[in-house]
Amino acid sequence: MTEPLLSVEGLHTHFFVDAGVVKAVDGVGFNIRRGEVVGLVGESGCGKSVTSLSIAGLIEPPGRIVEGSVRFDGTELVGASERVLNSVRGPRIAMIFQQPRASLDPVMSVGRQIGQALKAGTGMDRPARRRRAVELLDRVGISDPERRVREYPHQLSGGMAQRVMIAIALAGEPDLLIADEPTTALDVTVQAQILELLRELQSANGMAVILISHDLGVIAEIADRAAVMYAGRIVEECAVSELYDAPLHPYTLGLMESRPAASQSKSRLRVIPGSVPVPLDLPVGCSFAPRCAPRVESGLTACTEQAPDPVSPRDGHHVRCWLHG
Amino acid sequence: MALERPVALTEHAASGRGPAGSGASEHHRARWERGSWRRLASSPVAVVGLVLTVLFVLVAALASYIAPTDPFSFAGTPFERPSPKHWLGTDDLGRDVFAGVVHGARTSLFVGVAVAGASLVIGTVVGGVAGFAGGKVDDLLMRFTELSQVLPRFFLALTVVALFGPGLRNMVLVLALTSWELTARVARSGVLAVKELEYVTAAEALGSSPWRNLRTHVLPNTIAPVVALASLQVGGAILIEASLSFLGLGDPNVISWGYMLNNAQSFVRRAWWMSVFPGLAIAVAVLGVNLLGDALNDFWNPRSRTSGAAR
Amino acid sequence: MRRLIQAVPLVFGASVVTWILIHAAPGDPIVALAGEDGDAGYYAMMRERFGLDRPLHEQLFVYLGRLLQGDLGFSYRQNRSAVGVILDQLPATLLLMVPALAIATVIGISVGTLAAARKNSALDNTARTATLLGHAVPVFWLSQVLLLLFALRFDWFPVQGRNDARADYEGLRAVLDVAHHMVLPIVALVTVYVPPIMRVTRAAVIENLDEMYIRAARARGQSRRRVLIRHALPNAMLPIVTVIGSQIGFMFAGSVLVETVFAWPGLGRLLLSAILARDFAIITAMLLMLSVTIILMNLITDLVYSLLDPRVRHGT
Repeated sequence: MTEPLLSVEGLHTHFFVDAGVVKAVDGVGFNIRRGEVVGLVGESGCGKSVTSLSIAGLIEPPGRIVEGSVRFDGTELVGASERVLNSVRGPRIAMIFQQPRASLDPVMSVGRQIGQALKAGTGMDRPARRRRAVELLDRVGISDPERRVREYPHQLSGGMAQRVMIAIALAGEPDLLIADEPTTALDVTVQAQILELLRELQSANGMAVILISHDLGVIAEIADRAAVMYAGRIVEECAVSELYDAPLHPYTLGLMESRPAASQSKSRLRVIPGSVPVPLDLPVGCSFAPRCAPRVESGLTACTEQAPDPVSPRDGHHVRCWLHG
Repeated sequence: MALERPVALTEHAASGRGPAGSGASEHHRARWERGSWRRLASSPVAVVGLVLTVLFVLVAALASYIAPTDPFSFAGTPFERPSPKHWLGTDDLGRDVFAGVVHGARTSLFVGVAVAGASLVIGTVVGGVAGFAGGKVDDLLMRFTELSQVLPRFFLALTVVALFGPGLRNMVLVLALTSWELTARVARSGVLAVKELEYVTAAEALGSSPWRNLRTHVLPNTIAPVVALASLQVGGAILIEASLSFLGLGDPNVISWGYMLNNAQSFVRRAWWMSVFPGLAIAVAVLGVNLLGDALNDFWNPRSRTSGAAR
Repeated sequence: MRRLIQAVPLVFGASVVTWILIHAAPGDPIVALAGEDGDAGYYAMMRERFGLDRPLHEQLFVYLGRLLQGDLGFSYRQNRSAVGVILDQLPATLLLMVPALAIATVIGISVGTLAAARKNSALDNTARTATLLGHAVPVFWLSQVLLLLFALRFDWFPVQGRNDARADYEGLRAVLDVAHHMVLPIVALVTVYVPPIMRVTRAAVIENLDEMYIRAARARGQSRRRVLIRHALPNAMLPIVTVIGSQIGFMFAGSVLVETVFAWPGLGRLLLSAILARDFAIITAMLLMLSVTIILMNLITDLVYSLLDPRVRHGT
């Protein structure tokens, strides 16, 4: 029917370092419709942040997108000119990051940083930008915005800085917001407030959101669909409810069981054995095979010989696993 | 908890820049391994610096063989152009410029090395005492290093030589007395590390003796950076000696590049060779020791942002 | 304010160092304060003025008291106070130093920033090589070579001095004549002023380009160029200001040497004649004045910090 807002296909982003080639993203593909909220889950180092930076064209050397396509609202972004990317970043695709305070320029006032985003998105004149900056700060729940707009990042708390980052992101009224671990560095109570704010703004503005997190709880809070990443690939993708009720990939299962909330009733936390493979030295076959208990039980040999292709055992539920192929 | 497992390599990849930055800490750990020496030798800057420095030292050491002519003797007629007989010409008194340039290397090398050596000794002593004594002594000595920072080296040296009379000894002394600040800081932190280590070993009663630890861990990690820092003083000292000699404050009894340039100043119109060659010699020598010093410091003091021009 | 209080012991320390030099020098301290060739009456006057007939510790106080009144000695040769003689020559020196520093700052910051933005490019490598050479070449020799080439060989610029003694220019012609004489000395000074500024700018901008706020600024649609100029460079200004402020002694030294070669009538020539005449009052006074200038520069640098960085301004 309608074309998706964002369509990522066969994305490969590699880092060419002295020690070799780090295949941080190694064949990622997914679609996002307008107004949809998609969660991207995985342990640190699985390639979820690199995926988001690749979408925004923000990969710097020694990194490079070696293959794949990112189509945003009909425009191909891989290989697009800086000019095109600069007009998309901000006004159409906005981003917020894990460390809000470090993401704000320490020697520029909050108001001017919001103003930059407004100028890029709307071309307002200076006084209008000032007024709009105050409105935006008010919108993201910052008290006394008239004063805050003149302040500098070091005068803000982490939660407040993330609200400012959100205000900057909202400035261009984007179609897509990429939130990369937006609450990880914040206090627990502040985390909930920021998530609540994001959910509220999303439903009010109808923007699509990619929420990146290592925390399944955060994803469950606001996402419609979830994609689980492992070693540079999406290993499972489906509706959030289905991910909870009937996960298919052994890795997803492991993630569920290692959540503190999930194991409250049991005597101790279950932990996935082994560790994330170093992307320099990925195993042949399925990257998860060395840590996969069901594989050992089933005695499958394909797992260590060839990487599995995605299959769809159910409608709208994709998984990369030989157990289901 | 499994979700939080940090993977050092990929954390950098996640920042969008790749794990290039992770090299620094490994480099730090590996610097005593043979492979890192090879790395130093493969840097073109270090190699050029080493070649120029060796050339400089050889010329100084073998001056009497390379140029048997006494640089002060009247070897020809005044103002002879460069020729097979006098490669770099003669000066206003008929003295051989080539002999002057070759023998001048000795003076520059002596000043450079003596200042670096003396600043090494003073810096290590001050830093060491400050580190060991701690408390008020430490504060006071560190105040002194602050003072030595605000005194203008060139003018202080100039004043001392003007008041106390020209002579290499005075010059070396005053330059050394104004160039130990960085060395003292590094030596102090080295000593603090030793204190820390002795405390740790005593507390945990580890098998190896403190002396063994001192020798195998602390000294290599303190001496090398301090020596590397001192090497940065050489170029600056050579330049200041040349500058003062150029102003007529050099030691009248030894030939030096600065003195030759001072002499050339009056004859710029008549004899360009009197100006060009001694200055070229200074530039080449200083470039060589600076490059080598920079390479040593990139290697041993990767964090310090000391500039090669320690003048 | 706190900084101002910290500066006091430094000024005191610098004065004591100068005083020690004067007293430790071979011969009578009066010679160091007033130069040789004075007559008996003059020496007696100076002896009384600096309390040289009293015990040593009192002498120090008398000396410091004199300094507080701005009396840093008296030049018998010039029959004037040393401070007065120096201040007379200062404008001529500043006439070379200030434009040279301005030009060097612009070149150093712009080339350093570009080199940082294109790390390891041809421009970066050229800039780094030039920096290394600039650190190694003695400025007085460079001045001689410039003079040989562009004044003597090509005759594009006047050889020495501040103005053409043979012509009697007025108005604009006179200004242009001085400007013409200024070109070569300023070129020589710029060559030695640029390397430290460029080196620090490059390093600081490279460091800041790696910061997260750069990526965040790019994520809100700022171009590479704007990010470089609006974000990376302003954040790199602290070390750049530091290096400019801390090089003031080195810059004066360069200026003195360049003036000597070009026979420019400023502090350099004054210093040279003071050395020849063994007019020590001038030399010691210059040392002390420069030390105080350096301490003042440190204070000004701190002041500029708080203008540039809100974190310093708010004391965090």
